[in-house]
Amino acid sequence: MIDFKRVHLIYHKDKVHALKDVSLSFSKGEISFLVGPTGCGKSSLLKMVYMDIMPSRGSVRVLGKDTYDYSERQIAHLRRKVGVVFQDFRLLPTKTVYENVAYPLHVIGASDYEIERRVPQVVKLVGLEDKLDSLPGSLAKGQEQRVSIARAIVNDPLILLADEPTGNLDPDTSMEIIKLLLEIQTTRGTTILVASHDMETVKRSRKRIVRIENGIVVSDQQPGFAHCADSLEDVRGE
Amino acid sequence: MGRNTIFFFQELWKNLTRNPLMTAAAASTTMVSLLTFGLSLAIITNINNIFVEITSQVEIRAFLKEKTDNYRIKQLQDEIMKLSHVRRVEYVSPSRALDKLQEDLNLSLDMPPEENPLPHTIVVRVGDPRHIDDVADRISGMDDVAELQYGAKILQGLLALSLAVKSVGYLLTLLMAIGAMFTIMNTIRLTVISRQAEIRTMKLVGATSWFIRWPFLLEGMALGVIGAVIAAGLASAGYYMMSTKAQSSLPFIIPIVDASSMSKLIVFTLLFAGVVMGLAGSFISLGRYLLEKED
Ligand SMILES: Nc1ncnc2c1ncn2[C@@H]1O[C@H](COP(=O)(O)OP(=O)(O)OP(=O)(O)O)[C@@H](O)[C@H]1O
Ligand SMILES: [Mg+2]
Repeated sequence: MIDFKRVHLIYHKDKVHALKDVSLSFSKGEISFLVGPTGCGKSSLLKMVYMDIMPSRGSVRVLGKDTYDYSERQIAHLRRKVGVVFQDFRLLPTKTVYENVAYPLHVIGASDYEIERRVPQVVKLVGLEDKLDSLPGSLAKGQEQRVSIARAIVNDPLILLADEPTGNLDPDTSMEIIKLLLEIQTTRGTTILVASHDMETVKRSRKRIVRIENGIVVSDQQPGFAHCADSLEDVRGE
Repeated sequence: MGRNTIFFFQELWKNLTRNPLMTAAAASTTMVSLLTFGLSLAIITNINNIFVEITSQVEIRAFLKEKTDNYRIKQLQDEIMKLSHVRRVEYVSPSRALDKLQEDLNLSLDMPPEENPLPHTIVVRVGDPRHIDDVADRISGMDDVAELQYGAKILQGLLALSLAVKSVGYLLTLLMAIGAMFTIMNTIRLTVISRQAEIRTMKLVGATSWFIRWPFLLEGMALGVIGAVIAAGLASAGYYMMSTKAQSSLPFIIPIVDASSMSKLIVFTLLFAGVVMGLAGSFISLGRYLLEKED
């Protein structure tokens, strides 16, 4: 579904070599966590999937097609199938919670009936049903984050990219969100990539964990081996 | 627009009402520049009108040979009328010409009709004075026409002057229109700049350029229309007052374009200009930002 092959990413403006020789494959219906210290390149990796940035070298294939082969229009259409929870939320500041979540539905030309049915449903799922008419500016960070999650899943994406979706939530709410993501994965068969700092929550989920440091993939552990991350860390600590 | 038309209009309404002060400011700048445009339009139309009136007063007087009979005169009149660009043909008999002469000079000549020295005259008015030379050539080639008289020199001077004044006037009006266009463009550009981050987000959640563009285009158009309606109202009212005043206070009659046809012209031109400039203005100011990426 998503394939990175020997991908390098260089931000020319600051001459930052953000990703180095990354080869990763994410199959359909799989959920994977990307972990690593700040600045290691997690967000950059996700941005290449929704084609906000393009690889400097190597190839990124999404839904079987090289990202360089997508036209402007095809990118727009792909993005409608890729839900993104942005690290900085990226809510539309002049629109209410309801309108923000409804926006991707308007983009795909959904009917009013569909929108009125779907939006409250999704907003309830993230527990913000009493904030439907609030503007993002009046929400707490954690609430904004949940609106961003609602918007990302509102039109049943094939791929869900979540950049620090629990970054501003307390441990309990974080676990709720992770559970929600796992539920989406199992019920919808959505391919999910989650970038996270939150090792605790990630480990408890017992899913694939890709560890990145300094733009290099240093470990890639399949589900059920979460404890290995600890031992690896122990080894590194020595 | 398609099935999203309603959504785009809802967006437009929200964008206009969210910040009423900003909308009012934008609409009034648009209004002021359209008003200047409208006024220069009114002035140039009137100048144009004056020249048309004056030049169309110019007439060709064809003097016929003395022995031309009534039947031939009638025939000539018909022939001349058939020429293109001829608007009116009138026959003035020697006796009528004499009466008129006496009237004009305020004297009374007791003269028997046989001694009347004045010739049969056919007076010809030409629709478009630029064709007067053509028409004159044709008439002078006709049988029984002895001599032609018309103010060719004066006319040519007037036409040249009219062309010069018109060119300057149209140039000024065009400049006013361009000014209005830039005003609208800048106004929309401010909205676009203030919503740049939003535009990027819209693209990231899969909106096509046109999906993002429509509400902005409608906004530009709405500003153009609001500005145009107010400007047209003010300009028409102002024109109505000035034209009535001018007609009643000037000692001589100048051919002022009447208020109702002028306000029709102003309303249609300004609305059209407002819509076109609003659309073009937002299209142009949006272009750059729709393509822009973060890096
Ligand atoms: N737009 C940009 N221009 C220049 N350099 C950038 C840009 N975005 C990111 N970088 C750099 O690229 C590297 C990777 O950044 P990235 O945002 O992908 O890290 P991250 O793992 O998401 O970090 P965090 O956990 O803090 O979100 C960092 O060194 C960062 O400074
Ligand atoms: Mg990041």
